[in-house]
Amino acid sequence: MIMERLEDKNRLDETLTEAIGSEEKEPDFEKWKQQHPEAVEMLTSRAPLETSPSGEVEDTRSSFLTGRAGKGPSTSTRPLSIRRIIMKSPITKIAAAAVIVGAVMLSIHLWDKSTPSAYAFEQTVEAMQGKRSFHIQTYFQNRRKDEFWAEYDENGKVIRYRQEEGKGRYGPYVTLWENDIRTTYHPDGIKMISRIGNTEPELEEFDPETAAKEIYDHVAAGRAIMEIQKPSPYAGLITINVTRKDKPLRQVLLVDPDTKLVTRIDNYWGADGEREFHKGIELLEYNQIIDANMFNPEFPEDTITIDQVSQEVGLAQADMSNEEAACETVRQALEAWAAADYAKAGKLFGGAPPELLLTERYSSLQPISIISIGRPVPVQNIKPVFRIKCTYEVEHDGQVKTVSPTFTVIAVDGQPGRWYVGWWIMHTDLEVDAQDSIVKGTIVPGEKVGDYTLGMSKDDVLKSLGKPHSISYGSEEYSLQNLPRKYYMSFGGGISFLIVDGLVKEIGVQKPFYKFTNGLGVGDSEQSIIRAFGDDFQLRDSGWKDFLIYKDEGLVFEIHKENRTVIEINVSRSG
Amino acid sequence: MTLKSQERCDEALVEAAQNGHLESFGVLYERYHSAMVALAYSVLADRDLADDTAQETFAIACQKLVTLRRRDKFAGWLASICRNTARNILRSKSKTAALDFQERTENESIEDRRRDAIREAVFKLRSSDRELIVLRYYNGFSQAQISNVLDISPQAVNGRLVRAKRKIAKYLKQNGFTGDDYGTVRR
Repeated sequence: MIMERLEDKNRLDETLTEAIGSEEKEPDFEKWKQQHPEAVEMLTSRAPLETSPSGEVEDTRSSFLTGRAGKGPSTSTRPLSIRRIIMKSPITKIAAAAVIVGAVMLSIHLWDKSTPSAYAFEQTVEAMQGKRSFHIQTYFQNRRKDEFWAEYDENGKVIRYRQEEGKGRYGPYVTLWENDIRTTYHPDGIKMISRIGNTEPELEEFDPETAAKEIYDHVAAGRAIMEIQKPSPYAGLITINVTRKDKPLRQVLLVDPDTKLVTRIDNYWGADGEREFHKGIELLEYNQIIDANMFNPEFPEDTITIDQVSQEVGLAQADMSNEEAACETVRQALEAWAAADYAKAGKLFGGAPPELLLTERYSSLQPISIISIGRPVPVQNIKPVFRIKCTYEVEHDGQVKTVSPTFTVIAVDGQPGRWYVGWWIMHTDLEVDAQDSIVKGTIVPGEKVGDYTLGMSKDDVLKSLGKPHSISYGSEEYSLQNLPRKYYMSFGGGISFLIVDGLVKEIGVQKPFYKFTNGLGVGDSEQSIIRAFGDDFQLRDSGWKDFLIYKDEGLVFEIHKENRTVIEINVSRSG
Repeated sequence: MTLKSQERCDEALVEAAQNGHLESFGVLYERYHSAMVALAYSVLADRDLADDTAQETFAIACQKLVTLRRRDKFAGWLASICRNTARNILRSKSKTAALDFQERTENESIEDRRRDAIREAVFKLRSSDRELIVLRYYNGFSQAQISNVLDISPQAVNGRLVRAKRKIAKYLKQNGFTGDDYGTVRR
């Protein structure tokens, strides 16, 4: 009997191997590297600067400067070794000489008091003082975000800066600021010039000198604990862990042991064992003279300029409330556009020249009659911004269609009391039938979507929506006659439900028929979601989409990996 | 290499990779690639998709590596990324990834039917048992290797493997295949 069992067992082993076994393929890391350049770049970006691949950064900039214009100045901003910078830069030498170091050293900062090369964080604070320029890369939720170049005067006041954000098909968004004038270049060929006064707050959170000083102050005041580790054998950098006592924040700093400069600051939020990377700053250059062309790039010849500096734009608010002014601005803009008064419409669209409204992209959106101007929905931002959904008719391919785009109405920078309609127009799709543009209901986080509430019975859902398109869970498909305990039930119209024990546990929205009260929904940009709901979310990613998880709101936004728009919204109980 | 020494070795490689040392990540890739393919196969039942999933798993891991605090748990962490990626693929394929053994034809040979029955038995197991079986038989991983990847003790691996195989044998017998038949299956 036992032998029989053993034989059975061996046969089963053989059979299983034959049935599901596979010839092992040799892992090919070289091929994988070629197929995943972005992942490789993200990993190697953490290498010490001497080995950091700056080529990709250079490529991005070069494509912006030369790709569209067909010409462009060469730049010599390839990040240099900080060691070389610190040794050669006269600015740094002067700054270092000028620094007065506190007499009391925090001895806990020394990892090895006996060695001559012992390090204390004060040395970094000293090395960082007297900034005259920096070049940094920021990271947010593990992705590259902005790249900054900034120059300062001898008093530490910013002279000018350049910011590159994102890396779309046509290149990054570029913002330049100097002499109170901000120029924003959008890679679809539009440049906007506006007057912005004090930019210090915009740059302060990225300033490595300020960051190092703040950390020092927190430790000195007992608000944080600092631990310094020996340079790692691989990167050769000193790692410093700074754990705040007053908030669940740990900052991890990497310091070059030769220059004492911080090369990286990463923020991790959460309790012990649950910390997640939130954002980081990588210092690429410090106190090196930046090529002047970086601040005066040549834009492509066909760039359309929206000028808010040399002309008055928008509509005067007069005695209207902000909401009234926003509605009136968009109403007058649409009426002027419908009447082909491009001069007036352009002024209300923030100074857009007629040629912008006459481009194919915008002319197809020109109203022929206005049906409604929606309710202004405030948007969180650093200045008053409203979103207003408007419904009007357009002529498209010889047919009259109804569209319902959402316009952004903004207070004009540098022109107090005036409002303009953003020339960018959101979720307008002429291919969408008028029927599709009807909003069927409101998404209430943690509660409901339209008439469908969390906790309602599946029978009530079926009564309202009829037979579902599909019922499934994992790889299994089910029917109404054969339901498991937990399953997804999808319906036409872009709504689905996770049902557990006969009750709705989660509601998914896949089409823009359901919107939040602020007008946002499927099809809107990731940035608009973050602006509206804040950056206190967890990011999870899969092969082709990312998940922005707002636990406290009970919301998950699925973001298309390429075009960064919302493709699905999931509503569940918060917390 | 013992489990503990492998974990320690992983730890050093992960630290190096977290500091931007790509070659260290390459060692981890070569060490765990096959396991991730097998793990993905246990979800997807499709060898090509499993290969793609493993590739994607390492891409995600590469990008998120800095968030890994327990460096000694790299393998388990990687496996969780792999599972999620595979499930997302399965979900996104909108259940079109029907397992090929579900599509039988009258002309199938008895060998094919037996092989399909065995695969069906494997894929009827609950996911945690299925992972074990596939890791064990897809590429012949040792119990220690499985223990490392699934982050469970070798004893637990052994016990669960035995139980899972019993379930498979029971299923096969219920479907008319005896122990003698097992060995007749040919691919």
